[in-house]
Amino acid sequence: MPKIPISSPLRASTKSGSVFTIRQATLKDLDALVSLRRAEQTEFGQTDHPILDKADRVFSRWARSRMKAKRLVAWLAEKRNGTIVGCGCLWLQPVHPNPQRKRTHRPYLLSMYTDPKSRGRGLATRIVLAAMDWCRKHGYHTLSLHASDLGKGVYKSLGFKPTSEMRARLDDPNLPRSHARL
Amino acid sequence: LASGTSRRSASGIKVRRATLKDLPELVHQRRAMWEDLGVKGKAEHDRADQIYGRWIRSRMKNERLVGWIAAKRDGTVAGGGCVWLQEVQPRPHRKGTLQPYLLSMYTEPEFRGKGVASKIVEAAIDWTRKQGYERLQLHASEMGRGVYKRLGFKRTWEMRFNINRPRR
Repeated sequence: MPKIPISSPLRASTKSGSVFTIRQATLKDLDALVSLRRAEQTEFGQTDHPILDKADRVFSRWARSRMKAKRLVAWLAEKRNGTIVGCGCLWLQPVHPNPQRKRTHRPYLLSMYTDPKSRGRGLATRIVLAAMDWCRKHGYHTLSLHASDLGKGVYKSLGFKPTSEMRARLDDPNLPRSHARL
Repeated sequence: LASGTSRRSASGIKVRRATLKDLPELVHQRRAMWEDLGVKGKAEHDRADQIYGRWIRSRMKNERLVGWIAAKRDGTVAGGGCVWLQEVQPRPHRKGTLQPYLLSMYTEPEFRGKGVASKIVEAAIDWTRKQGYERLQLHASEMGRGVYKRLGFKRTWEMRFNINRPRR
């Protein structure tokens, strides 16, 4: 049985009549997802409009085809007046086979974003809890993501742990050059 | 093969690209890697070998995966490793949605401590760079962390939540 603490914001919200609702997104919400993602990228420092425009189109196509193929589900935080202020997407990302895992894809959380004016109300937490719930219902045992500085605290408090992932930047001039002649 | 930079001598060991003929060797290395990581059960390993063999074959054929074999001149295999082009989410500034990922790194016990893994990773970095990718990712075992760190790999902020498995 899924175990969500009784005091969790997901539960609390359904009873207390919070001004925000968390609901699953449909294809009709794609534009809202794209514009929240654009806001996220802008906050990360990407301010070049042609680059953002192109990224919008690429993400829109990418997300649409995956939503249609049921490889991506998204949640939205919506105000009573219908304004969408936050989102998160869960994508079934291809991974290599592992003897302890039956499937060759994993639930991966991306595009987590809350409009600055609606922060500090636990909306991101409620979206992550909805994603965890989805994973449980569909028989997945892990939920992975890459955390931004802003998100680390939220994920830590929900029980996410750092993994052993490592990355080399190949354009880093300090990276040792290969001396093997192959 | 110039070996001047190798900390300890892996001289006499050459790293070459794996072909489909090396598939049984690559499957063996993968199984041995999981055994070293503590995965138990013959039946589970046998099944995993089959799944991995099929998985790697189709990806080698459509050039989504390349492998390397480190071997002595007489053909004795010392180790190996693979780079798979994994799909990731699109991001501004990045071409395409494929991300090189290093997996199945393995060194035979009698060849450990000689820099074999470093040579394989260097070959992988070289290939990845030549293909025009800017990053190479992996998940490190305790044993591998030092090797990767020396070669310039850094921890990322990947996080994972383990969902309680239902009790039987």
